Amino acid sequence: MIMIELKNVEKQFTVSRNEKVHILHEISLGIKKNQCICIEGPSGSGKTTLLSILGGLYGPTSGSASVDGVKISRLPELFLTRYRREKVGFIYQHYNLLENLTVLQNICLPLVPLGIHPNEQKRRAKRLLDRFQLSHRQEYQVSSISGGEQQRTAIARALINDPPIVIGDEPTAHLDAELSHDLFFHLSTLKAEGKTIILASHDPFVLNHPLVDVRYRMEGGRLSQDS
Amino acid sequence: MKNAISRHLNLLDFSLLSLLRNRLKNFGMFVVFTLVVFFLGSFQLFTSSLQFMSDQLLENVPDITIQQMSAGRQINMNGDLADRLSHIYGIKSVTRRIWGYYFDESNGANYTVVGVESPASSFSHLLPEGTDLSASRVIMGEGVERVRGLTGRKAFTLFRPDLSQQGFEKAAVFDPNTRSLTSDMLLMHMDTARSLFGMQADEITDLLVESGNPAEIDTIAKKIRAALPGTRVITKEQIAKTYHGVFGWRSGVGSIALAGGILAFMILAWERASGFSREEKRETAILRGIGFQAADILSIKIYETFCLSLTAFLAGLVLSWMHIAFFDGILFKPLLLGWSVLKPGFSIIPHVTGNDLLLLFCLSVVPYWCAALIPAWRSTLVRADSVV
Amino acid sequence: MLVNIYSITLSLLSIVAGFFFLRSLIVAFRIVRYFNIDEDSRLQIRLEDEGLLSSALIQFCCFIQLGGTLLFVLAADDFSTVLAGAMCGTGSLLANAYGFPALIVKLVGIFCYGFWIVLHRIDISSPAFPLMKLKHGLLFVIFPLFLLDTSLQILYLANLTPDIVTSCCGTLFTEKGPDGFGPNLAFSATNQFLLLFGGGSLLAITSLFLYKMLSTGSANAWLLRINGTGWALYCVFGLMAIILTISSYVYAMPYHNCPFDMLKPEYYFFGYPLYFTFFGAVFCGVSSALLTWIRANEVQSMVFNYQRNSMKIAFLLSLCFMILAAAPVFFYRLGGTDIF
Ligand SMILES: Nc1ncnc2c1ncn2[C@@H]1O[C@H](COP(=O)(O)OP(=O)(O)OP(=O)(O)O)[C@@H](O)[C@H]1O
Ligand SMILES: [Mg+2]
Repeated sequence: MIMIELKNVEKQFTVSRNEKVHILHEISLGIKKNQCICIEGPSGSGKTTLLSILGGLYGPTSGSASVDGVKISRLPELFLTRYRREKVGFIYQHYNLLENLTVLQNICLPLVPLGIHPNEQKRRAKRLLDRFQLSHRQEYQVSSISGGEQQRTAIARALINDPPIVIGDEPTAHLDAELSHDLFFHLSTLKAEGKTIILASHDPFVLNHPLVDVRYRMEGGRLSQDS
Repeated sequence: MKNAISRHLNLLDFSLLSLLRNRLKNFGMFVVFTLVVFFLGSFQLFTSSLQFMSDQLLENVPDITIQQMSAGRQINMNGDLADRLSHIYGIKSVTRRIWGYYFDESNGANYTVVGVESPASSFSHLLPEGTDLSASRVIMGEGVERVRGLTGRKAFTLFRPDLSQQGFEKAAVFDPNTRSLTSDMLLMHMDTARSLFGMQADEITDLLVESGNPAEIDTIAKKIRAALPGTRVITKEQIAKTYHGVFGWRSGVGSIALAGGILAFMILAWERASGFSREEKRETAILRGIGFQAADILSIKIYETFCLSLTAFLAGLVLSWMHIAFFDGILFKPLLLGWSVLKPGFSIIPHVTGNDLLLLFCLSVVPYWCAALIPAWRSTLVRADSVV
Repeated sequence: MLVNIYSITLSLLSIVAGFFFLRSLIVAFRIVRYFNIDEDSRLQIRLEDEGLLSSALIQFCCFIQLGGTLLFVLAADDFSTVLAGAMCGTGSLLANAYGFPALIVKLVGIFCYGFWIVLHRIDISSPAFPLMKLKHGLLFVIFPLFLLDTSLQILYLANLTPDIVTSCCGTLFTEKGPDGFGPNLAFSATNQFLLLFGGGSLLAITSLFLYKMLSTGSANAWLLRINGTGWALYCVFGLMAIILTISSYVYAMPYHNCPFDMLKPEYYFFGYPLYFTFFGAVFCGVSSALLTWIRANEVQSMVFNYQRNSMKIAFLLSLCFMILAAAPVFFYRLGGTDIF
């Protein structure tokens, strides 16, 4: 059963008044529930742009994107936000953590607008902190921990509201081999829990991992399926 | 509903956290805001307390006061003059009184000496039941008691004009709640007062007239002027006008209050100009990406504004209360030069009403909120994708 | 012109509210002209965001006007110490021709803002924003009301001079006025009790009935509209009954009929819950009737929910209101005296 479906998605960015860049060309893609897909491709080819559309950060310029039958491609911001906070856990390429908050506070952030009690927030965060070996850093400011620790914080934050869709933009970029193994161990439990996982990466370790069901290749804004 | 409440509690938590995170900037804002409230509040409290005190004073002013004039100055008068008023219709009562000031050289204090025929007259409501004023007994204000060191003793002496001594006995002390009126007062029998001031047997300083009907006071005053030429006839309303003349600058409240309001706006303009750095923009975008609604961000900003302005408001209020209560409003004293003529050496008793608080709130906090709203909204417009 | 801190504050609040209103009118104009949910332009995305701004501003305006109205009443009470003949807020409001109209326009204004917020809440429940143009068009209708409110308030304050001799609530409400306003025969206290409690119970019961109907799924728009009309009438007559009859029981003084004194601490702020339950019930009743004209499919279920909940709330509030209104009468009667 197709959960996420893109049809002829195009994306243009307006750089200046009369200059537009065309990033995505006619992308059509269907992702089944509980599938794990991975998108590879050279830098600047549009992977992050595609993931952003899937994650509801913005809509495509034309074409349609729907998730669970809801068209997210033309949803007002008010409803797009709702989609983001209920359906998606997004691991950003640049983490996007709040530098002057602690690790624990960062991880709990997505639960704030959901109205979850602080004690419950802590309880859930503790589990993730243990899972990603961050417990000893929980009271540290994000600005004072290492790149790998920041990445794991970002991953924990994406998972805390238990989203059905997990999107990872280069999630292993700053992890060593052992931590990458750990990450995939966690991803496989998530998959076992029934989540849909969408990754973008250059990392051969990710691309060749048995967890990945389908591989796509992005080049110059066009998507093709790898064999 | 329950979820909405817990969501807003969380947002409130978050905004407190972010207030603490930007401690430096917020503290500056807090100080300026507190100062604004302090000035507005002191002013409002000051005028309101004075108004209250003058109302209290006026309550004890008789409807009509008659004084004998000679060469444009007040002189003593003969008590028999009271009989010449008996035929005027509408007069309820005429009372004789001696009112003067005694300068106590030993400590440089000025006492107000009041001599009455019986304590039941115009001061009855200030006195304990059944106070006896015969012989040399006096009732004194707590200020006099303190200055003369009479807390443990009863007897004391004052000098007559011819430097002979007159002995007195403290009969009672006025209720401290009437301090603005009675603090420097010595209330005694008329004969005792005459003896102290060395006055003739029949002499008094003024006559007090009460009328049966407040609407008739002016007519009665006119008749008294005709019956007693050469006297000065002062109605209660004229005295009230004198007091309110002192408050004349009270209409200046308008300009000062407006200035305060404008100042509050200016603070905001400052905050707005300095606000919204790149850092803040990035933070907002991240929060939006995580799933904070624009309305959530707006709530956070509004809660920040609320917490800051309300604490600053309270701080300013407490400071202004202390300014009035413990420092007698020294910053505004120069405005009050006229007052000393009416009542030398007074101290202000702070008097706050709910309406004062409401007004202060509307003049300081509400404009601040209003001015904060649009910039706060603008910051929520940052889109989630601006940090991808 | 009576220059004091109240009049300055009131004017300040009006200026602030006016500023916000104008700002949201700019948004409203652009939305009415350019909003098109099917389009995907920058302007459209911006308008969707700005639509939220105007709602935030109007909500804030509503808040300010609410505070402003309260302050207006308190100010009137304060003015009564300066104005000859005025013993309570009523007297001050009667000091010139603009006082009471200003108050009434203010109350109507609050109702309109409240209804606007309801519309907005319903609108944003659907991604199609079907009421976007309607609600922003409505702002152009509400704005003249706001202007009227502000001008009446300015006129009232400007024409207030301390030497005006005014009358007081006792003379206003107990002597028979030229327009028959006052307790003449048709308006005896008994009739008023009948109107207040009879009419109130009737409306409470119909509301409860409508709530049951809406809960089981079927609702007749006309029934809701009739019910709403009933509530609107009840607003006028109920208010009269409160002022003419209930108030004198509250004060335990037959000729004291001030609608405002009961807001004061001397009467334990009795007026606040009384007016709150009264106006709250009226608002629920009238607004859910007005919503029957909303036909957009996308938000029908939301409209339906609102109507159902507000019928329930109207029922509960009117119950509380009648208990509150009956309490002073009851206690006064128990005290042994009778003013009839
Ligand atoms: N908001 C934007 N405005 C203009 N151009 C943009 C914007 N976002 C992305 N681009 C451009 O789109 C292209 C694709 O960007 P994208 O981030 O999707 O690449 P990527 O495949 O994720 O690359 P990398 O592997 O380096 O992360 C880039 O050339 C980038 O400059
Ligand atoms: Mg990228």
